[in-house]
Amino acid sequence: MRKLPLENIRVLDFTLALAGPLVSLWLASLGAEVYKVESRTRLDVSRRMRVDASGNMIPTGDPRFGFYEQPNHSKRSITVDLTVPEGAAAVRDLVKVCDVVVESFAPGVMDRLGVGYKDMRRLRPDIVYFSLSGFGQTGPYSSYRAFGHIASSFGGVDNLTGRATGRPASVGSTLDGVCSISGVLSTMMALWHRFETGQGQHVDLAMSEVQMCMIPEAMMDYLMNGRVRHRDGNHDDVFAPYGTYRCAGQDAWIAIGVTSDEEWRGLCRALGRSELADDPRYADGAARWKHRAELDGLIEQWTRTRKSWDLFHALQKAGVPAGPATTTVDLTNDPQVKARGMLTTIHTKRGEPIVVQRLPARFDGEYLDTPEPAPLFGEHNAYAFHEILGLPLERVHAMETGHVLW
Amino acid sequence: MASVLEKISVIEICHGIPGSFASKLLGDFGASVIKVEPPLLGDSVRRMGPFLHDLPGPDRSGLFLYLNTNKRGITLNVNTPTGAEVLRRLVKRADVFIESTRPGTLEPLGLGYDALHALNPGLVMVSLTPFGQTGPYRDYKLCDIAAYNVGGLSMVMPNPEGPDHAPLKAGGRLANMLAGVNAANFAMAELLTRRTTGEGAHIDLAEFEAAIENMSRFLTQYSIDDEIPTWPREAFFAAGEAEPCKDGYAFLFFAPEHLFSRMARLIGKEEWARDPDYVVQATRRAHWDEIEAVIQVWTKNKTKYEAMHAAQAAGVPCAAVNTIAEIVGNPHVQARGIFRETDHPVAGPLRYPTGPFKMPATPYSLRRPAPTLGQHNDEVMCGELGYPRTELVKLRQAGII
Repeated sequence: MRKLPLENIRVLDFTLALAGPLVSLWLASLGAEVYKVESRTRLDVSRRMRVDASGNMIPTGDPRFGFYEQPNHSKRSITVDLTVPEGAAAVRDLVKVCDVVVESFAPGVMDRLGVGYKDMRRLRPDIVYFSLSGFGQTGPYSSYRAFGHIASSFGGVDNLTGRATGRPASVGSTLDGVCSISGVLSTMMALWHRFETGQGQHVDLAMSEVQMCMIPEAMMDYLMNGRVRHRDGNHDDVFAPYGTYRCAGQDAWIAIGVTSDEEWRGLCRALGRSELADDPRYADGAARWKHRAELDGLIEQWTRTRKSWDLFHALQKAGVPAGPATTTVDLTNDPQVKARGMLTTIHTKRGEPIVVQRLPARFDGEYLDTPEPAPLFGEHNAYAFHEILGLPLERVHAMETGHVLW
Repeated sequence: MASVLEKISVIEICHGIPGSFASKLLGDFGASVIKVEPPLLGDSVRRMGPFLHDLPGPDRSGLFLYLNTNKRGITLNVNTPTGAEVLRRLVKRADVFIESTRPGTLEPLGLGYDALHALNPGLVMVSLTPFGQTGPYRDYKLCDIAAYNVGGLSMVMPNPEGPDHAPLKAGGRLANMLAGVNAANFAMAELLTRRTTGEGAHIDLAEFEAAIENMSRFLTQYSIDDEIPTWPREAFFAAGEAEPCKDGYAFLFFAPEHLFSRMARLIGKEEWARDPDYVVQATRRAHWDEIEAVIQVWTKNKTKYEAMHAAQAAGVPCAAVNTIAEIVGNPHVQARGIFRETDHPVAGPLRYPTGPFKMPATPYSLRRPAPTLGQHNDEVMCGELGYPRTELVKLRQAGII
């Protein structure tokens, strides 16, 4: 078994919903022991559960529990009501034997609950404390409420998304992932620093700021030239032809981008129009840019009667960068996905087979992680508080019935 | 204050965005990065705009300047035996090597993982390619929009135009950037493992798989319930849209029921806040046109920032849909110190975004701007590898540097 980078690292995970849990998911996949802190008083919406009058967890009937199972696989679950003093105290006891805290509450919430960075550092001086928020831990807007759409709006991506003549289209949770993986990088770097020096720190990730780092073309055009870029659908600011073209059938599309004269000649061959390669209207990148609207029409005339997957292979054979707009059905059955083996089937704790994706890189030919099913609600209360912290089992049960581990 | 990766050295020999972004992230947090470019023309990104004052030049590409902060630069034609030997000597003493050549091209040059690992068993080598080192698509090519689509991202982004229109890609080149962050992550992961094992690894990262990772929860859900494979395209969530203000747009978000009620009160519709037909998302959709019309009455007589502050004061998540100018001029962004200026020998003083996160003990540092082409040939090849100056002359005349 390949050694994992975060074996012997214990994480206390206060994140809920999507962006935060994707951070702790990576940490779990890299070998860390991740304790997801849940509570009946603050359910993770992705569990698709609600609490009845007796405190039982009942499914809401929303069948989309895959949105819980995937971001939270390989984690453990403890239930703690942080709003009661004994709950916060229990978590503070646990942090003494933890290396990392990850949280995604609005700035200030963790402090008010008594489990903020200062509280945790007092008990574990070298704690790596990672906070994910919309606007950051400091600054005039730090208390502003944020979700994915708020970050992508404020961060500049939404204004660059959508057609030139239309409204901005929000990328929303599509880009939660780029914020999450940035958070993983910062957490690993903070752990590296702690291994080197013994020093922890409070890492502050603002989702809107991650977005600002991901759009350098527009950023630098303004910073260098004072120019405010506008959205332009699926077009590129450098290359033409470039876009997403309709294919035969229902809601089928292929994305094509020509980034060199050689690729243009390849596209002409694939189109069966080799004579276009010598046509001065399209012979070089500048000419193609000038006539891009014409080229889009020409290309779509060709694609609209053909299947997107046939076009994909034909274009690739001709050396043209292209990709069909894939659906979940396509990807689940895709030959490359199957050959690589990134997707794997595991069984949830309730015995249902589900497909999950392993971390997307092979190390010496193998994907790193071996996914385990997502935990049942509060499944590891006894493990965390009795086995690790040494509280007697009766005490743990009393804390559960007493609505502390709740 | 410390530089977190100050003990780490990186060699990066990539065209385009993903590999350059990966080594930039490591360099921005302290690693010593050497970027290796082909002689004369350099990285293809040098020829991509935006250009400073719209005057093209190899050191005037804003994209290149941003993606290559904190790196030294050398030129090298690794397709020559001498060039390959120089690269081997550099990689032998490095911790991380990032490359994105077509699978199979490095081995004949003596630059494949096996050869490099023999020279440097602790080497962390990241090969970042469109579809990975193996599989039926391994020789296929991608550009950002193709990666975004084949990786499943375009079909999971709700499109306000509906499924009769082409799926939209996110603004910018997000698939490329995603691949870059992933590459930095995996290099970092192996550096951590190497602390205990002493061994490196060959990391095979596909831009295709990095994109899929961003939407794989939909694959998980599809494996449970194949009734709804493409629901994001057809679904409509009645959770918020960019709404027109006096000076652009503001986005109000209210998917959860309690937020909808708050928003309803904000726009003067107390009765909707108490009506389950409006509050519950499943039934709210049928009322969307009516709801949006009233929201727009509220937003249209305000600037985007008036809307943002008023909504936030009422506990409703709301943001101005910012242009870049608005971001740079924003008081919160300024208080956060997102932009940092440095001088460049050709482009002059310019501001760059810092980030993408704040680490107070080991902050982002802007130690040097992007290199000019071959700027550090002397410093690296003579000063560090020990080649005499006369050798540089020969190498230049032979087209090797």
